[in-house]
Amino acid sequence: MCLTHVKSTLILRSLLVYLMFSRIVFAHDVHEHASYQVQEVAQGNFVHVGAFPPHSLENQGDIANIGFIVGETCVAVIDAGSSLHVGSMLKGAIRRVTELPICAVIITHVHPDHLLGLNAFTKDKSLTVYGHHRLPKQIRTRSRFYLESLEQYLGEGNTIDHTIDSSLVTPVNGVLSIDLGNRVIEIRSWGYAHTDHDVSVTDLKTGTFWAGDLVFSEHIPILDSNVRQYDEVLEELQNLDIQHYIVGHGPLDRPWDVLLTEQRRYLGVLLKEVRAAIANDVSLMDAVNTVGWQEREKWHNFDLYHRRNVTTSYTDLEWED
Amino acid sequence: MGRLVEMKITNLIKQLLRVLGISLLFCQLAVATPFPEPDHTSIPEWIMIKKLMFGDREIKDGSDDVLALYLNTKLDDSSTVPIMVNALMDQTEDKFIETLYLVIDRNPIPTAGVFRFKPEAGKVKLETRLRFEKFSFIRAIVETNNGDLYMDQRWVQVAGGCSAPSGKNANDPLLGKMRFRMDDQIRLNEPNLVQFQIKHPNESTLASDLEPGYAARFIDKVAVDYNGKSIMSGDVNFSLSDNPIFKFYFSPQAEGILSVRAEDTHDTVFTDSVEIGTDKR
Repeated sequence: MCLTHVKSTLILRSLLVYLMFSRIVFAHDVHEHASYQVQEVAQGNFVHVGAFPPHSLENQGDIANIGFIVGETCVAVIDAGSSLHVGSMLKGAIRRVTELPICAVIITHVHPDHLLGLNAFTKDKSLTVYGHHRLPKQIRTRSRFYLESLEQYLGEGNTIDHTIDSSLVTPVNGVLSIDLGNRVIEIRSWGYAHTDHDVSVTDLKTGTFWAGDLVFSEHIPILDSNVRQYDEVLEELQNLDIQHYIVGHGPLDRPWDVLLTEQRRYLGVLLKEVRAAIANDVSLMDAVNTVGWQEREKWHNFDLYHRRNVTTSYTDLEWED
Repeated sequence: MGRLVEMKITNLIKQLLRVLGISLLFCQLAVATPFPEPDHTSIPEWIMIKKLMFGDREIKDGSDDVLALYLNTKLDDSSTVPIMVNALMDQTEDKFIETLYLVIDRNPIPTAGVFRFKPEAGKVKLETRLRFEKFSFIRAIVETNNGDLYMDQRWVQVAGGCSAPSGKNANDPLLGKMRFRMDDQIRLNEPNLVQFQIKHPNESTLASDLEPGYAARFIDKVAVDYNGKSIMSGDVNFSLSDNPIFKFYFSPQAEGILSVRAEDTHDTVFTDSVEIGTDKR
């Protein structure tokens, strides 16, 4: 798969192990400005760990884990944050790490906490924006709605400079490699998972996997797609040979396999119990308050997003034959 | 004085929408923020709608003995809000509920549905799923055969349901497919629950994914007959969620055929029927 050549040589593997441990040595290597910090989770891979959603006046939209990968010739940004404000803070963090130009911005999916800061980067016409081949359509259909929502913070009419031009997106269908200078990263488009247009990014040099919102850590997984196919993607992710990971929301210090196991358990509960509810003629009104509630203590923000996950699953599965 | 009160309420609602927007940002989720319920009689939109729909007629509080409107208090998907209206009185030849109006004060088309029932139904119930564009009251108003109006209402704190992209495809190969659901054994001369659902995007005119100049495609008429006789019909619109669903009572006097006819704003007619037997299926 995308990491086959990581598997291919023992030398490279031992190098990765070395890098993994060297990261502990350099764990103090935290770049700070005001309160906006990035940490180097693997050599050349910097991430800012955001607060848990939702967007609030306190967190100012800093609610996703976003970051960048530094090669020898240029920098790739992964997700742009919820606003120009967040995007600019990330850009500032990049500038404190390196003077190299930004050559790529990868948008993992359309959700506003990953997308709406894009224009903080796109004034530079030499960089390329990458996204799933279904991302441009999602931007066209959803961004107006997202901008209206953002107005609640920025004031009416004050989001015009956040307008996202979907034609900027270079579509990825399958796997696309970009060389950042002695560092190749792979962008991969996925099928129906968290959304119907997720991409992940892998830094081949360090074996670092940027999952976007395909995977959540401690925060309840959010389903904006199809529960059956999401689990198939997660199964594939579980079998990836990766050295480091970055997920879209939540802490990054928990074992990868635990995250995947937890998330698959949750989606499994949804699938099984929603199907049972439909079979037993439990209405949607009742199902949102009964299905899967044993999972409540296990996730952050369960009360905010679980019912929605049940609704999404129910309204899909009720058409199963 | 009245004008001042209206302005105050408008400001109140504006503030409230600001609070609400906070929760709209992530994954299109509209999460209810605790907010005091306004007085349902003084909502400016409702005052206008009431005048237009019912003139000066009195609408009594029906919540004690005529009808009950149910929905979840915690709602987080403004495009799919299940609701249930139960009549607290039986349908008899002398007194019966003829019409049920569902009104969402602050939706683009406030009259979400007008449903007509027959005395033969035995009992009136309606379950469906609705979209809410703004924080709003939803009102269930019934009109009895002697012309009395009764209302029950609930305050709903979700928004964005009509302008959120539906994500559903109008070219779905299953477009118009219907699913029926009823008890395993139908009992004659008694109210039996029947449910049908139509695969349809029920596009909102506010949906941000519609091309300019394109007329939103939504179901505007449904009619249910049993052995050729009407048992329920409705005028509806995109205030109903995609894949519109309807659950209600009917009292068959004999075995027969239940047939549904639905029409959308692109003048497409969808029909389907199901055989009703009394044998255990």
